[in-house]
Amino acid sequence: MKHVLVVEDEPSIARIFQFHLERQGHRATVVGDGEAALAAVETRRPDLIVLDLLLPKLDGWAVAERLKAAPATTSIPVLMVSIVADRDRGLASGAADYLTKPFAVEDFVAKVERLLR
Amino acid sequence: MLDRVIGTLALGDRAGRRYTEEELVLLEALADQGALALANAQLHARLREQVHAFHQLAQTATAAAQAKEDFLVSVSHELGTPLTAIKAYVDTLEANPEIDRWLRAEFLGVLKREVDRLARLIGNILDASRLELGRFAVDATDLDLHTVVGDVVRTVATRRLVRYETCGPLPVKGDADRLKQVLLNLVDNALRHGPPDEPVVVRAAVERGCAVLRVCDRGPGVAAEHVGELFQKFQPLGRPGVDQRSATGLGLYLSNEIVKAHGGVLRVEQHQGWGGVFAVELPLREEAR
Repeated sequence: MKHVLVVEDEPSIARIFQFHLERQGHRATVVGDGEAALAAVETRRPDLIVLDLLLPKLDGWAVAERLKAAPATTSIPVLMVSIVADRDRGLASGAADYLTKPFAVEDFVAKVERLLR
Repeated sequence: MLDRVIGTLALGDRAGRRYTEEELVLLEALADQGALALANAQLHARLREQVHAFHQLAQTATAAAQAKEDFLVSVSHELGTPLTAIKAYVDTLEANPEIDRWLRAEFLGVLKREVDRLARLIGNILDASRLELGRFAVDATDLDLHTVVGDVVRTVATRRLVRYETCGPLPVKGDADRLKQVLLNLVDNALRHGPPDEPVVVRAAVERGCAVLRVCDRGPGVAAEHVGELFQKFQPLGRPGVDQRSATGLGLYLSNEIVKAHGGVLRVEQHQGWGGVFAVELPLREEAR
């Protein structure tokens, strides 16, 4: 069973991520802001991070930057999900993949499965 | 040669001698040249003025275009959030007909909320545009603000805990729908900014001939330096470090305009033990003062 950390401040969207992750047989932990994301990674290293970009406290860009800067977390794949269509910047900042909102659920599931393989 | 008189060239000879034909021709040519030079100078000055005016116009247009661009970015982000949820839940329900009825009910509940939210956002955008065009109407009648609060609290309290501390009837003159819109917006903000397990409190009072409603949450409140920009259009950053995405940036602006149109005041207050406290003050009807 793979462990996925979902960083998403919009409860309805976090919930549907969680639903699909669990349906695929993974374990999902949901946090609603950037600081909580970094704390959660420290507590338990996830196999994948689904990272929204517009977040309270610490935004997704800053979270990705810190994750990539620390040797312990640099190799955790990050799937950025945002309403901002900024794929190039996302990939340049170390994201393994990028999903623009609104997204098709099957795209989300396919990307997650590819990154967890 | 110009076809109009723009000045006079007066010449005379001290000895009283008359000018010869040749001299007059020469003087006429000189006057024409002078007139042309003068007309040119006037034209230049006018042109400079026009260039300056055009420059100013261009600057205004650029600022307006920027504001429009900001508006569109802000609006598409705002609409994008409920839209994302709606699409994801519809996709999910469609692709998974076997999910049990509890989950189905939960997902339909989310869909309903997100559709309502989308409708509210669109309503806010239309209102903001009506305000800008001066077509925003407030239809005031005699009403009891206490009833309006009751309606709003009942609507919201199905989802989250909202406590209403009443002080009895509050007769005012106002537009019930618009005032509901203000309260819903304030309560929604409070729910969003306050901790999920703490109720939002709506406290009613009569102060100095006015009905005062205070919507209080136990969130982080509004930093003093941000209070000024809170009621401007597209300022969803009112509570820095807490929320950079959820407000339209229109809700407080519209609420403030609605309250002002009622001859009232919307303000942020600091109260010991509370985070955000938004107070709506509306004049009581004459007979109740």
